[in-house]
Formats: sequence, C-alpha cells, structure tokens
Amino acid sequence: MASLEDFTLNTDYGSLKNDDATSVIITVPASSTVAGNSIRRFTQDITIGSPFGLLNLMIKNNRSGTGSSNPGGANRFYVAGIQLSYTRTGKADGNDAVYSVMVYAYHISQNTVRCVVEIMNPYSVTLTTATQSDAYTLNIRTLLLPDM
Amino acid sequence: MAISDFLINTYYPIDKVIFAQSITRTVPQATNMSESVLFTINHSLGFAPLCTGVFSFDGWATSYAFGNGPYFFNTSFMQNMMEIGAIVESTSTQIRVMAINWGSSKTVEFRIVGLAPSSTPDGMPAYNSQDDFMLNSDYNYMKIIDMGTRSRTTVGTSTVNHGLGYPPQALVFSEFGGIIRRVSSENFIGVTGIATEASVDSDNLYLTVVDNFAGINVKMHYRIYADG
Repeated sequence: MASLEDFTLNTDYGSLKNDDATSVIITVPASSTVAGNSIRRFTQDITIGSPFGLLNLMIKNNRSGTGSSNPGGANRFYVAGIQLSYTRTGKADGNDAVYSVMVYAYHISQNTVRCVVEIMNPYSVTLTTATQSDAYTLNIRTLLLPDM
Repeated sequence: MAISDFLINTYYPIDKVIFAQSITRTVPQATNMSESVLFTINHSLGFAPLCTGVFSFDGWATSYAFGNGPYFFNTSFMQNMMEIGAIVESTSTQIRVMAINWGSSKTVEFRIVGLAPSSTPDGMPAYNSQDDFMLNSDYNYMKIIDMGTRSRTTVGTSTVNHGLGYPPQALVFSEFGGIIRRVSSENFIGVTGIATEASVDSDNLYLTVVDNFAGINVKMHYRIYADG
C-alpha cells in the first residue's frame, strides 16, 4: 500500500486551498532617523485572499552577507517560520549603534495584510540607520483554512 | 505550461490535512520568561503531524501566524518587545500550543492545521472536514515537487536541489526530542539549545542548523512546491 503522501489526490483528506499570492517590497531609506526608545514602522497594506487565511511568508533582503545581517544568505528567500530579525549598525550620539529590524506580516482585517519593516531604537537618543538603504521583499501566499 | 500554471497537476501530490482544530484559551499576563503557558490537545494519529496555523485575541479583527505577534512598549521592562506570541508543536500523541503574553490577560483563539508528513504510515483513517469537498477550481493547490527529511548532528547546511530556476514556496519544520516545530521557532519561547533556519533560491533549498550545543540529531522536514 502506498503511503498517504504518495497520492496526488485522495478524497479522504482535505487540502489547503491557495487563494492568492503577491510580492511586496518595502524600502528603508539610508540614514533614516528613529526617535529615542521608540519604534519606526515602514508598512504597506495589501488586499489579499479570503478572510483570515494562513500566511506563507518568505522574505528576501537586497544586501549581501549572511548570519544575523542577512539570515538565509544573500539573494535567497528566507522561509519565515517566525518573525524575521536583521541586525544593522547605524549611529546614535555619533557612535556606532547596533539595532534590530523586524520583518513580518499579519492580518489587520479579514482580507487585508499589513507588511511591516520595523526598526527598534533601544537607545535613549535618536538613532540614524545605516548609510545604505535596505529593500525587503515579502513573498506572501494565502491559504484557506479548513473548517474546524 | 509551467507546473505552477495548473491549479492541480496529477504528476504532483498536494498537502493533505489530517488534523484541524480550533481552541480558545485565556493567556494570562506574564511577568517573567518562565510564565509562558502550554495548551495541549491529545490526538491518536500515532505520529507527529506538521502543524501550522493562526491565532487572534480580538475576535479576528486582526490575526497572526504562529511565530508572530504585535509589538508594544513594555513598561515593566522599559523596552519594545512582542506583546503576545505563540507557537505550535506536535508530538506523536499531542498538539502543543505554547504562548507568552506580556500585555494584559487575553482570550485567544488558536486555529491549528496538521499536514501529513512525508513518512505517514499506511492505513491512516480518513479525515473529513473542509466543507466536505476537497477540490474547488476557484483555488490553486500548491503542488509538491519534493519532500522529505534531512538530519544533522552538527551545525551546518544541508542543500536540497530543486532546479526550478525560480525561488519556490517551501515549508520547513525541525524535529528533535520527539517534537516537531516550524523552522526557526525552537527558541521563540524558552531555550532549546537548537536553532535552525531555511532559505531558498532559484536552484536549492538550504536547511541550516545554526546552533546545536549538545550534538543532538536534528531532523528537518521539508516540502518544496512548484508554486513560486
């Protein structure tokens, strides 16, 4: 007997219905400023899919590098099992200042997804982001949930 | 025509849902990292399904995929951090939802879907849900071109060639200690000593064990879809 996943189709089991897909690019301009102890968000809202589907999200950054500066590696889409964090270095009070950039997406209404690039300034003074702009590509595919 | 131009393609299997359940629970406010909460659902599949899903704490005005959550300024810690986050795990007997909430107490609905892994045993009982029909030509069905597992006991990357010429969709899970989770979520709540990540380009899927302090065997389940 073949195992379940060997079948292309099997009427005993439901599947996930993919109802929409799109890509969004959000760019953080070079030398952006973020007030002390605050968050600056760059967002784009998109109408996509049916209400409250699953989100399959993959994220790519235009920079070279690996590790925390570019998880997954340059020119690759990171398979986002959780919110993705990038590490960058800017300036705060004239000194080098490391900061985090969070990239994620979530439903803000039944079929609207907000794509977010979020810079957290942990310093008490204004943070100036890196001198190179950052473009984040979010590849989003929505899937209908089965009845529960 | 390209594989991905078809809604379904009889050459390629599609995901099969073998578990789907919604649970609503109260997640109290945490004051330290040890105050995460764990909700369990027993199942009788006999193996661990590949689980994913979404949750909402405002009656589905907004919703988040597991591994995500909103950010807020936590006055207790005087820093910006995730207000509430949750992940879903599976074992051969249970589905486990783990959550931590730094904001005020919330009632949260979690919607969980379990997919059949590539090594699903024979003789599975039927699972009927999904408005009792499987296929609807209004929708695309993500076509699996490759699926399987790769195991490592050391840090490093296992490469799976797909050769599609474009970056395809992929779904990746890690397994160790009998628990399966979405890739990269191993330390989302708590610390496991294991960290993984996955990425994809036009030629390959890369399955990376980033941290493995105890030399544990980490099995990564992957599925690569024709859909880009």
